[in-house]
Amino acid sequence: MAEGRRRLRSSTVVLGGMGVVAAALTSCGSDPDRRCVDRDSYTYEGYKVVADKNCASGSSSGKGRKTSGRADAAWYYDAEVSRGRADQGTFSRSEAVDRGGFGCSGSGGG
Amino acid sequence: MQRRTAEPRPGWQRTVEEQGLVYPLTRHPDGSLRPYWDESAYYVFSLEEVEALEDVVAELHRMCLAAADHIVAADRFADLGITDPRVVDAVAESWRCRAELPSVYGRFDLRYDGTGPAKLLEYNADTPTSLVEAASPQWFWMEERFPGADQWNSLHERLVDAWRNQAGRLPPGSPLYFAYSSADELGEDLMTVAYLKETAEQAGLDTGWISMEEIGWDPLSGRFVDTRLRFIRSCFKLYPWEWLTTDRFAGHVLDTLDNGGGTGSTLWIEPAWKMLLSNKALLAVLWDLFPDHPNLLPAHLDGPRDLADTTGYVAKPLLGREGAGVTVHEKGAPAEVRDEPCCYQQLAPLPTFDGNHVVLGAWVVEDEPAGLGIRESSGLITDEYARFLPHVIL
Repeated sequence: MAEGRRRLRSSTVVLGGMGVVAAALTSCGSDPDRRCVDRDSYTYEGYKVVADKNCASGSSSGKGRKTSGRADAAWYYDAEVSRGRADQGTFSRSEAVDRGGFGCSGSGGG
Repeated sequence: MQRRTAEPRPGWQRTVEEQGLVYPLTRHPDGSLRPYWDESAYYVFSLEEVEALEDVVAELHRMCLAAADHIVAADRFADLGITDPRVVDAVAESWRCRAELPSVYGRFDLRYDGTGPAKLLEYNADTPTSLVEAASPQWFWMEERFPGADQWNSLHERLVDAWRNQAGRLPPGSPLYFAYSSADELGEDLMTVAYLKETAEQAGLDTGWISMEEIGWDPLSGRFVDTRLRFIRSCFKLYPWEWLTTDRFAGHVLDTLDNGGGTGSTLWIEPAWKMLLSNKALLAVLWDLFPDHPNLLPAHLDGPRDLADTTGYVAKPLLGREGAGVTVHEKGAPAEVRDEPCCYQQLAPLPTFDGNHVVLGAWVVEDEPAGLGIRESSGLITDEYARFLPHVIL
């Protein structure tokens, strides 16, 4: 009767790509994804991304911060970035995607 | 039920890592690393024992669903510490619509020593872990050590089937995201989520991957979005509902909740009604509904009552995880009512085998008993330092 005995096991277990799982390093801040861009540089490929130091930290706009020879730099949020150009984002901090609203409480499992 | 010692397989650590158990070691408070996966011993069950345990698990699950129904019908949410009316409404609606909501798995923790009836210690129905080791390395261990033998373990097959069976409950046309909390430094949550994602892919689902911390809220569309601004239409989260409903984004979760049938823009798995089962108050509700049931321990919400003098008791915070906050009170110790809401359950010390305290984790997938994982601990409380041991039916 061995053939008739009920089995409680999986007949097979197959594992595929679990080995390549990499833990994403993320922070718990709520700052949206942002790039410092030169507002005067827009082409069909987007704005030119410039060094962060051109954008005043914490400011949502570079307005009034132009110094001689400097770009008209401003934070540009949630943009698609490619080849040093940022497009399809927003200059408005309040319209930017908000992140970090979950988590930072500890491990979820038990 | 027997515990037998064995020589671990050479290279076991690498073997189980390749089988998905990416954290086979645990760092202890003294800084030492000790095996979490422990094959220096294993447990042996008879088929009759396992079949009896299966029946117990099926019955306990039915009883838990009856308890959930009772909590909703009798409006006992306050007993669970759920007082926000919006959360109450969401959970109640989720329960009423449960036939339309995907629900995959849960784990009972049972006290069992091979002699008397198994006793329910708790039900991890919202965010259970220790799944990977039970489903995969344990199965491969049996294949290698006891080829052709049986094991109470149809987890992998049932998980793949569960996704396939419930694919029609998922919103069409967008991937099912799998979310873990990156605050879990041990990697256990990540591993569990990665494994579940794998089973969903094997069922043919289109899946995505994100951490809870990365999930974005797009104020323009009023939708949750991934790192590339794509809408998150459905999401398996290894993240408890009590956090989902209290985090900064809690209002967005409730505003956009798809509680079945496209009633909102984001559907979460497990569904909100699992809050009814993962709460320790369930144990007291069960005892109310099924007094003296052989697989239950007496449990109360208002204090230990007579348990302090008769058997001793264990006080479990309603929302504690991995043994956190649990206190043990031996018989004769004064009855104490703690400040935080707790469930007071009869003390039923875990049985010891070769000096190790043993707890059985019995899995439920899609409402059916699905497998067994055994953890051993040094103390009475099974905490994050417990070890996982394989089993076989001989």
